[in-house]
Amino acid sequence: MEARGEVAVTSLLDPAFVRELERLKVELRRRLDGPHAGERRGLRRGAGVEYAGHRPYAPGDDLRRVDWNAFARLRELVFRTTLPDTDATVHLVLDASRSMAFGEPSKLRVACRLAAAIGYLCLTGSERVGLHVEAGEGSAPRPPWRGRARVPSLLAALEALRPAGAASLARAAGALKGARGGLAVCFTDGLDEGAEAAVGRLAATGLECCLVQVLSDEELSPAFDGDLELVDSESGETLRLSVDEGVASELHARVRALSEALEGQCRRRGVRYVGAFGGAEALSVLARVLGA
Amino acid sequence: MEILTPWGLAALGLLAPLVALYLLKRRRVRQEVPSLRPWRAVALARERHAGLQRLRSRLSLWLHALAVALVALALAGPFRRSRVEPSSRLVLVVDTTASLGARDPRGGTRLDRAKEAALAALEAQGPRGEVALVEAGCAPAVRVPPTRDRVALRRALHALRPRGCGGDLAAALPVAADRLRGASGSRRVVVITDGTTRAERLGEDLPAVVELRYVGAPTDNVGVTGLSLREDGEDAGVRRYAVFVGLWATAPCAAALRLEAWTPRGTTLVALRRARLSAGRASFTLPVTFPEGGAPALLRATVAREDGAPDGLSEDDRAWAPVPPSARLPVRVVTPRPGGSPWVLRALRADPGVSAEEVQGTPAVLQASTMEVFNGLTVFHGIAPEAAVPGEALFLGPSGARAGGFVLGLPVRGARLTDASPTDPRARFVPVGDVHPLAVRSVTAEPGDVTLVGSTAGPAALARDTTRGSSTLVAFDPDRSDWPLRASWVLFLRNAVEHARASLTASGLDATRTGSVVRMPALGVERVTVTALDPPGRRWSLPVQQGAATWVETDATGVYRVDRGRGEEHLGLGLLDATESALGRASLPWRGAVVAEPSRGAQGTTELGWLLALAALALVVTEWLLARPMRVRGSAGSVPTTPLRDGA
Repeated sequence: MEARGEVAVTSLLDPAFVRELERLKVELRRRLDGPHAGERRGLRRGAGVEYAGHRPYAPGDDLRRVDWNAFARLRELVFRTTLPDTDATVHLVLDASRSMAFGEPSKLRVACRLAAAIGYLCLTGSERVGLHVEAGEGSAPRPPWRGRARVPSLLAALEALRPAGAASLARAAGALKGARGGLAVCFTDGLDEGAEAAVGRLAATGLECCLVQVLSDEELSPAFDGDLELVDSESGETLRLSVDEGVASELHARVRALSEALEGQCRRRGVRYVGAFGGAEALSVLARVLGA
Repeated sequence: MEILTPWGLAALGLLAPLVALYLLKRRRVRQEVPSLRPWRAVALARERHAGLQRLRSRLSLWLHALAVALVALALAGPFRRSRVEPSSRLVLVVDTTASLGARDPRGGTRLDRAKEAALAALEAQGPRGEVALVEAGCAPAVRVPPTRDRVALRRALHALRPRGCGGDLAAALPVAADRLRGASGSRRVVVITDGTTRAERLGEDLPAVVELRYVGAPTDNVGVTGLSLREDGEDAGVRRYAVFVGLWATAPCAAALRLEAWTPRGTTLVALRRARLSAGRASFTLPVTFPEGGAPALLRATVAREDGAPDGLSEDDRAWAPVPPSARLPVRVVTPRPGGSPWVLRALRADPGVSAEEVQGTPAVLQASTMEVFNGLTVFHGIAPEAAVPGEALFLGPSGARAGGFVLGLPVRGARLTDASPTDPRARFVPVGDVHPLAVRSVTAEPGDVTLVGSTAGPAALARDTTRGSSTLVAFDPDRSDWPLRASWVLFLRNAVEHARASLTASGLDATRTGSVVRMPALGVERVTVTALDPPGRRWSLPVQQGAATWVETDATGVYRVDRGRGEEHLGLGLLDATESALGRASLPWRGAVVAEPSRGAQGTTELGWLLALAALALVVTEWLLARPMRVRGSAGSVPTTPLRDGA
């Protein structure tokens, strides 16, 4: 049996899962390369950021790319073309605090598996992948990986993760400040007090952001009752409470309310929110993260 | 409920440290959760119901506190006064004399109430105590010796029935006291009676703790308390009788007295008297002649109320007397030689009710007198057998060292007679101050002997009553004194005759009262049979010993047929007891007896401590079941939750 929070390499990306990812990758590419390219937000969202030139506007062009300054001068609609941004960076931000150790499998393992899948898709494409781990004491910044050959490095880094300490997503988001273009995917359970504030910090990075909230069944429906002294896994704070069925159902509602509040905050800040609760399917969550 | 040791309640002080410990060290299981954030929100919402929650959460405290309180109360020795008798042995004395057959206002008889009281006392005694049952009827009888067998006791109680006789309740107490011997723990006698009984012959000290429980209520009653029949001459060849009837009424009433000639073939009314009776005794003397055909076997007297009011007791409404009355008492005077006792014969023959004859005291006669019962009075003058003589005997100046069982010493010349017994009927009206015997022989008195006449040399006249009869000894020769010249001489002999007549009447077929021992002389037969005719049913076969059969079970009124080889004879037994007929409630003259209500047993105690201790234990177990270590179905890292599925 695995120790709490340990991630087996083979279990992160087993051959069957890789095959599923390859199919997902083909599907995503088919959609992006089609006649409606640019209408969807996708993995290759970075394409078109760098200026390439102007051409006359044609019906069907994205109005957002019309050069309105040129229109003011020329009184003609001019379409601003860009070069495909093939080296965009995908920032994977993982909450590896102690609260992620709960659940079976643990929330951290679920997050690592999703991060590994995204990293695999990016490294096998043309994107760079950066890994930011928030585990209380912070982590030394490392340069992004690029290329298929870096997949094992990514997986090794993920498997080495252990839940510890208290998370500060705001701090992690601060580490992304200054990043140029790209996508930031943040994996967290979102139950800490600063989760909502972290969303604002993420949005302020200027990156396209996605927050994946990972929750276990235990958090939605506690499997214990009686007169208890509840201990916060990260802060060590305690709370005396007599837990019964009424309390359990009330807790479920409270967790749901917190999730909805977090989702609303993400919506207001332009951050995509994806919930990955205990019974969710990995590929479904992945597709929602990638905007497929 | 009362408590035995109030200091045990001090254990209630344990409640204070219990509450303190509970509040300070309330047991809680630590449970790690990912984040307290949602839990705090829940806890905040629960604060609104904090009161109810606190109460629920402190259920263990309440249960523990209640258990401590119960234990403290148990230590205090709580007990409840109950009707459990504390005594380890109880003797129930139940009065079954005739008055217990009286009608009770609540229905049934007084004996039914007595049985209820006895059963109540039996139930209150508890299963571990021993109980004996003594029936105080005509004579006391132990029905059940001390036992714990409640079934046998109840069966014996239910078998009790009112007897048709009176009795001495005091005589049952020594019997009851005897059943208390050897009992450990407390001992008690419960006497259940209606108080309508004789109970005089009790010593100063009661034999044990005696509780009196009276049953029954005063009831109006009329009864026959006396009946006798005497010849009163003849009219034209028809014998005339004078009938004396005594009645008792508890209240003024109108009553009818019927006298009937009883024969086995039926009854014939011979006299009727209607009278207005006042409360108390009343007596009537009625002349009676019997119709042609001769005298009947018995005369029956019946009294009945004529005012329509119910009569309390039916047992005393009838009485029987034999007809004709007893013949003249046969008296034989045994002398050493013929004509040796002229003064004795002269005095005896002066009584028309006596048939006296002189018998020479040959050795054969003396020997026979010790073997056979003479149905009369035997006077031994100057000579006597050494052994005791059955029946009625009078010894005058015997010459030997032994006479009729008496041991005599040397004669004391010049001894002077001092006094005569004032209470014994045999010395009644016998002044002896002017009697001067020549010499008085000293006599060795035995326990039970009654000194009739005293002298300076010791008892001059002794009486000895035994079950075989009564013997009277005069320790000097009347012929060698001036006593025959005194009037007291005739009175002394008349008293002896009357005593013998009374004794023979009581032991012969002349007996008319229930409860008396009937001695029936019977010669030439081995057994005497007695058969009840009215009411029919019972039959006795009595062995004949020393010329007589003894019938003791005379506890029911009615007519009996006696067969003792003389043809059909009849005997009537009536209650004839004014004490039993007076159906009021008397208070027995027993000092030191405790009068208890019949509905209440003596109060015992029931320990409740063990019950409270059990209750406390039950509370502790309940608390353990409800508040045992909190059920934890899982924890972080081990909770089986649905894994995030990998595939579609």
